[in-house]
Amino acid sequence: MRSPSSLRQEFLKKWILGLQVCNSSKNMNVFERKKAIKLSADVAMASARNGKTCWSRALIVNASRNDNGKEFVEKILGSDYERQNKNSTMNRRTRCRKILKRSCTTIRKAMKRSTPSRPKVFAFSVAKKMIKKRTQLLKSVVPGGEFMDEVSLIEETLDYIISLRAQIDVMKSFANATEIENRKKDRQW
Amino acid sequence: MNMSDKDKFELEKRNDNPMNYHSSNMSSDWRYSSANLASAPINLVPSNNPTAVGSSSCSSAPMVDSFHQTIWQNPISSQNLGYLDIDVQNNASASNALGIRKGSPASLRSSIDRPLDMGWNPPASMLKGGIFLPSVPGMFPQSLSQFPADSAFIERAARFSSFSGGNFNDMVNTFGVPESMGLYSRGGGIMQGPQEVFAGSGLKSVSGGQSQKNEMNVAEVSRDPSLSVEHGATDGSPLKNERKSESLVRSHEEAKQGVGVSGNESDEAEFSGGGGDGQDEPLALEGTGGEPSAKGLAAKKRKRNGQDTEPDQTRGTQVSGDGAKDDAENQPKGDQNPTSTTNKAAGKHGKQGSQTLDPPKEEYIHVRARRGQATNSHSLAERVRREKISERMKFLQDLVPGCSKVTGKAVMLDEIINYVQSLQRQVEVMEFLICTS
Repeated sequence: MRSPSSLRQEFLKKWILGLQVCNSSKNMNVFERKKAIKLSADVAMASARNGKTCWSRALIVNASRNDNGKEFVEKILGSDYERQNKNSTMNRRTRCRKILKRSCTTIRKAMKRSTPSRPKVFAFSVAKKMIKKRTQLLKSVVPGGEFMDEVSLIEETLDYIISLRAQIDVMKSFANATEIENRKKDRQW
Repeated sequence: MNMSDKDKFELEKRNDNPMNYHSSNMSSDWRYSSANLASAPINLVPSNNPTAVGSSSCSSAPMVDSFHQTIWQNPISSQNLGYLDIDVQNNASASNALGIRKGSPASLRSSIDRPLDMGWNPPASMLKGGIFLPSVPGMFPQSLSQFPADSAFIERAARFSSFSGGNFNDMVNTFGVPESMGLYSRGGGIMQGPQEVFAGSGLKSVSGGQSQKNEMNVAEVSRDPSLSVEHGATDGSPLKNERKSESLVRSHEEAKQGVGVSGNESDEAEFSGGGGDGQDEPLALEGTGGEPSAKGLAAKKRKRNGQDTEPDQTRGTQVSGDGAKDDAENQPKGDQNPTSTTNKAAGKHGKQGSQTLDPPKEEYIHVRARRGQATNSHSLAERVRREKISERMKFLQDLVPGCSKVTGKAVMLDEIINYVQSLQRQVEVMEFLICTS
């Protein structure tokens, strides 16, 4: 059972672990630091789901595309992450879905050529176009969204929103804590 | 950056909501949204207010609550015993309400809905002890909830079948169908007791009947769900339940074919043929209700079985079942357009009815296989898909702020996209803040 507090704790743990790994490589540049933070946050968030959701897997795959990222992911997740990803059989599913989509779109195009010119149907088609545009946008926003059908897309966005919120909460408290510590240090000096 | 600031401000505002609690800001809006999401009837209540929490738990289904109270008589040992008790109770009732709504045990893959279950935010140590329990009692109340439904249902069924046989054929067939629909839509965790009683009453009512053929139909129909449900109970998973019921249905259909009934043999052959068509589906029993509707619904069930998720199936069956019932109640045969619209409205109403655990009587009696509906398999599958999507959009509505007033997919999708983008930008800002500090 995932509760928000346990999700946050998991995320925090893995994030700190990732940050420690990054600090060991001594990035002093601001941009590199930010990259490291972002990377570790992404991987932590995704691993908190243990590969159950599509977006988490996609996130991990994206993170491990760079060489740095790959080492990083391996360190954090251990050798399990490959197994997790393979268990999901994402490739097969996405390929099947793409094929299905292609066939469906061709059928739909064939059907659309015979659209009646009634205003009601016209309104429907306009609405459908709008919805289609927006679903495509949503797919671009949610990681790994291009491979999902509408139903699972909405589920994934739900999950993604939840974990984003948890991430934001954790980062806020983290920033507050570091701010307080810095102030104390300043006062000391 | 303006957007992120505005969103931060919004987050703060939400924190100062009329929730009036003392805990940290961090979890406030989280609690708000997730509690809101848990179930509509459960009121939003701050976690530090046990009396209010108690009242909110009362607002959910009363039977469920009483059951939970008995379970939670022996809470986990911890410091804030009462606090945890109420919290877990509320959690359990929340998860339960969701479970009932879906008609599937809480242990099933409701991964999306589980984080949304969580109402309150007890300390982590207590949480670990308490949280695992709600998944277990989640199983029971469903079967319990079926009890009043089924027993009342049985009475009604008996009453119906004992009516004079002018429209006996139709009525019996329709009565045959709702049993199957109702039972299958309940999913796993079905008790055996009511089924035996139910089968007994069915057979009794049959003996009071007039034509042999009707007897056969009702007997077969009543026996099918009972047997299949028994199997389902032993297996303990809705999918297996459905599959076994398929095989049982098939065998029963064949038995029907084998038995020579003096009545309209052609009719029977047609029915069994219709049932044979929908072989893959447990709802092939609807073949007794009417041919085209049987084929249509069978096709719909086929499509649904092809999909991955289990709770989706049970959810879909429940929704469609209720929709079919209500729709049939509204219009006997006839136009496609009005039936489709009423079906949707009725389907949602049916869903709500099952949520509250006090379904109006009509839902159970008038199950008819959807006559007059578009029986094209494509449109049926699309309808199922649309219902699923609208269900999930409801969750999203609760989660995304400011979406409750908005209706229509396009605008809601807009809001959702904006929200996700703003969250992502917030994360970026936080990262930047952290790395500079």
